[in-house]
Amino acid sequence: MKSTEKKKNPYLLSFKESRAIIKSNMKAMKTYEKRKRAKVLPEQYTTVMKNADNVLEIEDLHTYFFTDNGVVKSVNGVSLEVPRDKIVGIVGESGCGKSVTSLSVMQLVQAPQGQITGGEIRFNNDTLGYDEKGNHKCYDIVKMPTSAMYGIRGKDISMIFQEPMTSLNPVFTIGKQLDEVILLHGENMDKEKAKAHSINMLSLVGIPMPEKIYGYYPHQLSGGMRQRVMIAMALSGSPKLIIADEPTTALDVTIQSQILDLLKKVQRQSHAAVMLITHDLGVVAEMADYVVVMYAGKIVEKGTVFDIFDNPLHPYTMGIQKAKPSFSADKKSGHEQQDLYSIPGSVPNPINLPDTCFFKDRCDRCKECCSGGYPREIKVSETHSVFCHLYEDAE
Amino acid sequence: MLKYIVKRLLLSILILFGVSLIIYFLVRMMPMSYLDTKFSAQIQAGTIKQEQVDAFKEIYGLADNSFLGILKGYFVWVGNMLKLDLGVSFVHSEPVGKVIAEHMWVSFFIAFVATVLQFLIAIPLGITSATHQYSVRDYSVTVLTMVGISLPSFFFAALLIRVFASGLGWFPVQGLVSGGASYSGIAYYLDMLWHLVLPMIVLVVLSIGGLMRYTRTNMLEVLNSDYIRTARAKGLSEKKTIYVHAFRNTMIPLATLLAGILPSLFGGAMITEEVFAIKGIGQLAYASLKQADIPFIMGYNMFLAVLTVIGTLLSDIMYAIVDPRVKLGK
Repeated sequence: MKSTEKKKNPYLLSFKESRAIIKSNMKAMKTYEKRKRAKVLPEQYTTVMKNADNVLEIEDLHTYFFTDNGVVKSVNGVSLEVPRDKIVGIVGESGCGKSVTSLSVMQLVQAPQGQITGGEIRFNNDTLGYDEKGNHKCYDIVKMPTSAMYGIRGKDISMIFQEPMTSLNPVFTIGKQLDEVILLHGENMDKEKAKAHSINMLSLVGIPMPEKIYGYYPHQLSGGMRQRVMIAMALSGSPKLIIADEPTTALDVTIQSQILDLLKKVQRQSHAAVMLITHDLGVVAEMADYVVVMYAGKIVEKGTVFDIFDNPLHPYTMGIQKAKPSFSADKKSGHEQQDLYSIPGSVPNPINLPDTCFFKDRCDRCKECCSGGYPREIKVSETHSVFCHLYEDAE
Repeated sequence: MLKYIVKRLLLSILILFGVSLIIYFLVRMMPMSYLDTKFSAQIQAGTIKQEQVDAFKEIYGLADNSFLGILKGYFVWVGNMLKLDLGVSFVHSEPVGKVIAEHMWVSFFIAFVATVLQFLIAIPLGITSATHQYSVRDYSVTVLTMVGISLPSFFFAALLIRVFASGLGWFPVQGLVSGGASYSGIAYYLDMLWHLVLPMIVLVVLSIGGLMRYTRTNMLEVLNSDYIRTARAKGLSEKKTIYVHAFRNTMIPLATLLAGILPSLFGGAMITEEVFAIKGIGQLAYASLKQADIPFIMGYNMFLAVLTVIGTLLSDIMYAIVDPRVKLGK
């Protein structure tokens, strides 16, 4: 018994350890906060796009949270592209870093604990022209100071949030909150013009009697209506990229399909690219052109929607596809309900990530080589790539 | 809205009756009697007899201390009050209403200035300490205001008197007007203000802490809410986000504080007034408690009760004004 008592509980931090964590966190948070507030010349945060057809290129993005228990690597080296006029779906279970990725693009990660610590987010808003080599110039959001972000948020990149019930300010009317966007970003706007624009936006998203709703307070609208208002708000500045962070999760099923149809419709009309974050595979299959699957802060597989759904390669992608509820009851055995499949095990502790593939302990196709190092990106086809040791020979 | 207010006012009459009944019984059950204290020396010296004191008690209506006797006394008091007569104070030998009206305004002036200063200082402090959470600024503001809230008023007042009055001699030790001087007009009021600086500092320093913590907590909660993220995502600057979108939401819970402000404005600060020997209503109330001046204690407490009831009603109405989600029902 004595030996077990003396054994250190790995889940408990000693006073010394926790002091050291807090100290290093304070230091890190201070440096990153300072960087966001520093006066930086525009040249220092412009760079060039790899592909001028993309609206957004994220490369090796790291977003960490400095918590009292240690550094949580929420987004740990994510690279993805969002092409013009396309919908890119990001899927993964709760806590895999998909929301944090999208908030990083807006620089809206909960500061000071959450900070973008590395990588590049290249955003192409087509106003910067070309450099001498003929490359398309763009902004690097990671290096941008917050003051420069004010001009991009709402105007070039806008966001639709998960909780329409709480995402609108309860003490201001719908109209005031909508006007704000266009008054902020529109050129020579006055209150009259802004009101006309906002009412136009409300009718665009299918809100009946937009003049009346304009004067309503958020609590007078239903959840679905509020999400339409959020979409109207997102479209108001005619953005190049719309980030929809689980736009239907908080809505009931009938409203979900309406909102998704609306989102697809406005995307086609405005030709904005959409980054659609969801954990609903059905939504992705319906909406997206490209799919990115994330697990524990890293991308495990990405490709076109056909690549991912017809030919899933990563065991995790296969697992979540199997975990969908199925209603194709076997006729021979009557209407017997199948047990819902779930992937065994749980996600590794984000503070102490292993040196191997993060999915190794839950994988049913685990091999010996899985113990060595995190797998590199393996391009299976032009569009389809996977991070898994199983396909190392397939290249 | 009007219907609601009328209903509330009618209800508050009922509440006030209940309050007065409880206060009257409590006051009568105090193990102290005005007359016994007053004549104790004479009784000991033998110049007055116990029978004579008892006769006096009969006249004052304090003779019968049984339940029915107190109840009877209460109905007499209520009957007089309905005729707007609060009785005559034992100590001051003047109608209670007049005594309160005379001494209320000094207390009101101190409390009013202190409350305004308190709000002007505490709310901005709360906001900066919320927007700079866990920073050096946050910690220093929190520590300083906590020190303020933890100081007992008599101790802090004595400290101020020691340093600024008897030590540095910047302010008078106590009182409301300079002894011997006969100022008139503006000079009189300036002299009075000079006397009131220290009591006001005591009241402000002691009350900032609570309000500042309240603002800070509310602000933090609002700043972490989804609609603030929406406001930021629109491209609003941090300043606009905080002072337009977060500020009004932070102020909503503060509307409840209105309920407590009204009685504290007129009720006087008992201990502070006592320490600085200011003849405000707080000091009078303290003195009357010590001497069991039943009419005055009753009058004073009913005055506070009325103010509290009105304050609560006002804060409910304020709620409906600042928060569009709140509708005052029937």
